[in-house]
Amino acid sequence: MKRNKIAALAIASMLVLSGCSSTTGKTVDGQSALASINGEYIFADDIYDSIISSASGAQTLYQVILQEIVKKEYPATDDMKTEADVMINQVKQNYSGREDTLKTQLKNMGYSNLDEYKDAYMTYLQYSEFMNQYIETHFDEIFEDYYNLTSPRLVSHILVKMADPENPTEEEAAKLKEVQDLLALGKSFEETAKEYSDDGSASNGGSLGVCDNKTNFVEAFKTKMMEMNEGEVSEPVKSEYGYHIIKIDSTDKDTIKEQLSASDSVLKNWSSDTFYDQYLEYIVFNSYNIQYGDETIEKAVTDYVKSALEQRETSRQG
Amino acid sequence: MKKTMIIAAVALLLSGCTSNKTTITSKVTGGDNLAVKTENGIELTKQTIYESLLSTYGASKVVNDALLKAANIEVTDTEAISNKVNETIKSYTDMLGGEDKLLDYVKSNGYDSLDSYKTEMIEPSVKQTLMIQKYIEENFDTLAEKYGYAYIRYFSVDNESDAISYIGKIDNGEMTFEDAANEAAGSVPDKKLTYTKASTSSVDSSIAKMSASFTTAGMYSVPVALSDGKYAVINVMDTDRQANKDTIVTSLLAITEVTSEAEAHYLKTYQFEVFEKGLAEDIKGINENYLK
Repeated sequence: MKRNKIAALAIASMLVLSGCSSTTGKTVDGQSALASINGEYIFADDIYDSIISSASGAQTLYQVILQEIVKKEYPATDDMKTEADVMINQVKQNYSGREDTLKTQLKNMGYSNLDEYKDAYMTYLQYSEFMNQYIETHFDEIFEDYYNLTSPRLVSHILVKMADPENPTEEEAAKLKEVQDLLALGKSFEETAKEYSDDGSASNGGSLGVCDNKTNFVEAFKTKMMEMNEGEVSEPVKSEYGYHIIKIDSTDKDTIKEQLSASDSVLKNWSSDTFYDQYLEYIVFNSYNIQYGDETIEKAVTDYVKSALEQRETSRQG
Repeated sequence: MKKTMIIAAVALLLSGCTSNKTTITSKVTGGDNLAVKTENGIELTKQTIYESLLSTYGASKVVNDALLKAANIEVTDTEAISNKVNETIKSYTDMLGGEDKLLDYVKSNGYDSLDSYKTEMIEPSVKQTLMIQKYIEENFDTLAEKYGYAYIRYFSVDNESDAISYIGKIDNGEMTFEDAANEAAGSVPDKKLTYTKASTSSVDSSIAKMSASFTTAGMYSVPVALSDGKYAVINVMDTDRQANKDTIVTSLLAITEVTSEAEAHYLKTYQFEVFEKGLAEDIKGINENYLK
């Protein structure tokens, strides 16, 4: 009985130490074998060498190293978990009664279920923190780069909406004329916008905030806006929405920097639709001053990052 | 929308495409060696990098390697391989607009030269395609019947009664199909290859679904309700699958389910086995038939 009990304990210990897995891998001639086909083994070393030396290997290695840095530097916090839970609950509500549709949507995005999507969202939050922390600590240099590259300005406008700007109705044309007359008579742009503008910015006195050469405006509006100097008010500019009267409130660097220093500004949030530098991640990666103990990995990753930064330069010249 | 796309893109890249969280038991040689170190004290060993690579890319890589080993056994006609490789290179050259453009493309994808691209990328892919083609040819009758291949032509009319009337008139010789098509639709339709997986750009989905019913040449006896609410008058022109074998094989090669079936067949034939538990789960996630 005692011998059986000792044997049972030994077996139990082995199960605990081995991870309770019924598949504990295979070793052949000292190498880990992952699989076999027709009696021929596929070794861990083969797969490793094959992936890192493949055409996409450099990007793969870069992503792996980046992932490890993000995970270790920015572990998941309670706030991130709460935000993820809120997001998941919102998704569930939105798809209530349409669970099959949700399943299809998730599958199309590469997720088997909501738990996987939540994990991915958590990873995204960690990555956002990784990027935003760099932006916070390097804001001065990022702002300098942004200012020189995009010529930002504080812009306001008054929109007179028209169903068919090519053929304004009498009423629409009269409204546009009234706006122009009021501005000519010295009524403030802000007050005129509040009373007459058909755009959502009316409540802000027509203010669109900081805009630049990458802001997603209709071409005619953006072209005119970028030509103007501080204090200027444009003639009506036609777009598909109607006519816009544009005012450049400021091109002063310090004023713009102050605006963009707010924590919710587009320059403080890399994931905003208007973040100006899509290659910033590579700058952030390089800031970790990585040392490599493996020449193959080092060459692959440094060449990959170098190539991405070269593309950054090329895109800025375009 | 953009935030969702960012989540999808960033997270897929950073977290991998697998939900497998099982501990990895396999080891890479020199795994304890320090591969990467940062100023902040982050240290990554070769083993850590290996485990990330395996979790993210291991399943597709191992399956691909296994299929290539099977293809090396199944496909030995070097002339056929060489011809197919050259045909593929020519098609890429034409598509990209010349050899210089192809070379640019090859180099932008990390290959040193066109030769290394041919050897590392095209040739393995060609061998696997030829292996799948071999499976299709060996199981041609079964597959062609399963997917219901037939050549048909059809025109549509607004009302079911009109369709029935045309079918009757064509059957009793009062009109030819061509005359009926001209009268109803203004032109004679072209012959189309239909099968259950036919694209909706070539054959209406309602007709594709019932392709297996077109077993006899001649007028299909009943109108078929189309997806746009109209009714089709169908003339089954050719059900001789052997006579149209080349076309049907090419079509079968493009059906994902057929490729998967063929791959599973060869993996089973050559006793594909996976020793890393998590990897096995990931491979079953790609196709549960890849592993018994």
